[in-house]
Amino acid sequence: MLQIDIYANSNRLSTRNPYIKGLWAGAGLLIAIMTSNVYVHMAITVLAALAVVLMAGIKFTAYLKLFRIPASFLLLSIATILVSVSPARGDFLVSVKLLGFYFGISDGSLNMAMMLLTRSLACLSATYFISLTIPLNQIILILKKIRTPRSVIEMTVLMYRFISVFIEEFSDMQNALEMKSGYRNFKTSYRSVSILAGTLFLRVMNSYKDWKTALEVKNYNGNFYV
Amino acid sequence: MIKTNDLFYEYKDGTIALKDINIDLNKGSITGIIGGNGAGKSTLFLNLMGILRPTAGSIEFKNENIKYSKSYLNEYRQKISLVFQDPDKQIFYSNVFDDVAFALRNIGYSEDEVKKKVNDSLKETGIYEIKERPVHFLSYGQKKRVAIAGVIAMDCDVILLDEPTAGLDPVMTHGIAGIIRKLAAQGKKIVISSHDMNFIYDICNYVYILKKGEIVKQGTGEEVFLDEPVLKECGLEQPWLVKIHKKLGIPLFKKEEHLYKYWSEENADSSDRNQP
Ligand SMILES: Nc1ncnc2c1ncn2[C@@H]1O[C@H](COP(=O)(O)OP(=O)(O)O)[C@@H](O)[C@H]1O
Ligand SMILES: [Mg+2]
Repeated sequence: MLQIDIYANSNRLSTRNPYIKGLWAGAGLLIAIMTSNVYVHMAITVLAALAVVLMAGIKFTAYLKLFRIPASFLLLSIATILVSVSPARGDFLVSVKLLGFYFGISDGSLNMAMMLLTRSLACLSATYFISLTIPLNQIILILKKIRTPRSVIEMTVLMYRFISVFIEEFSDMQNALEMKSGYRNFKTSYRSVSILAGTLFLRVMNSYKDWKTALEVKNYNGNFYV
Repeated sequence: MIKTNDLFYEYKDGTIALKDINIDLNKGSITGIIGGNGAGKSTLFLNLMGILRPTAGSIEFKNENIKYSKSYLNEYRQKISLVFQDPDKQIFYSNVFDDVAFALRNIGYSEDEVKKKVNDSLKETGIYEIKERPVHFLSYGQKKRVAIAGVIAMDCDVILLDEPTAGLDPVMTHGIAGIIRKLAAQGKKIVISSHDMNFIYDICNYVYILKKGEIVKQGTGEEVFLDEPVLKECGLEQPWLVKIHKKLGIPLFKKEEHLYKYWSEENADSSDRNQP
């Protein structure tokens, strides 16, 4: 089971009106995308963090941990924007000369990087606010309200359900492999991962067959009612 | 109501899973199909549902052979339904209510009727309180009940349950037995496959033993379970009430309560006799 899913279903905001939560998060996202003002971005980031920690009651450290993976991507891409290469020293604020080229940070790239960083953080915060405080059943309500096409909602429902089945199967197998010393060293780990991938694929195909049968029993006619 | 005539089924890979099966679900209100792993119980159920098509022989519903056209099967599957062994493979929604409502909405009931039927079946299976919980937060036994509720909601005449107690704890097993008895009392025909002999002996009034795709014995629970050699041959065991009857010479009881009653009366008698 996904940790994020546990939060979504069991915090102080879980059962609150989904439309209001959705509106707040949607407004945050929109504003973050439309303005380039660094302070507005920071305000959104801080407000979202306050809402998640103080109102929903999710631990601040747990919330921070969620930023670990996106932060690594973010920092890498910011670094590439920040540093530019030029044959002349030009308007670089700081620079180093390497192999006849100047690698440095200019005023423009600094502002750009700063703006992108805060904007990404603001968008990320708004998105986390959605995933942490709006359980899927409520998200479906919101999607219906904003007239999302039916087939998109159907796919969302099915994918969400099967992600949890998939994760359960994956972690069961992972545990079994670990119990049988499948990850003892590099070589066995290599083999274990291939076994895991192969078996998962076969199981998914088999499950697909079983699900088809179950759908038939329930008189499935191509429509998922949501 | 449902009968099979020399039903024969061979899987594509050449495995012969059912050989000339003749069963008649009119012989009892709760029919048991027992047999070891791989005996062909699940294959039989899939044939009864019209999902697998017999290689030879036929299935009779209300005195006519079932047809395999889409429209016939759609009608047919509103009258007969199946609860699979693995609940995870028949629950499509992560919302309990929507999942139980799924078949009803497929059939085209109005939303009001859906709501009523779903709530009724949730109450009947004792999971009304958890209807808002996401399915993947539920225990195995609760998921099993969701699957059963989904079938009950359809209000079928015949309900097939493939190993309904496999993997359940004693309390859950009792719960399932209670649900099954209630359904039978409403006049529904129930068919249960299982290798839990005590459960089958307790709940079924007609039993078939399946072995490697063949019916090797049939009869009332008492008749079937007294035949120890056949049970042994099929890799099955006698229910404990039958065992103590055979081994200790105690009369044969259908329910353990009857045995306890008999026992306390017996002992009351003997203590009377011992009185000076
Ligand atoms: N999809 C399949 N393809 C080929 N053989 C199968 C398939 N499913 C089941 N069988 C075989 O058919 C026989 C009966 O299986 P099954 O009906 O699942 O038994 P049970 O439910 O009593 O355990 C077994 O020998 C099994 O190996
Ligand atoms: Mg089976």
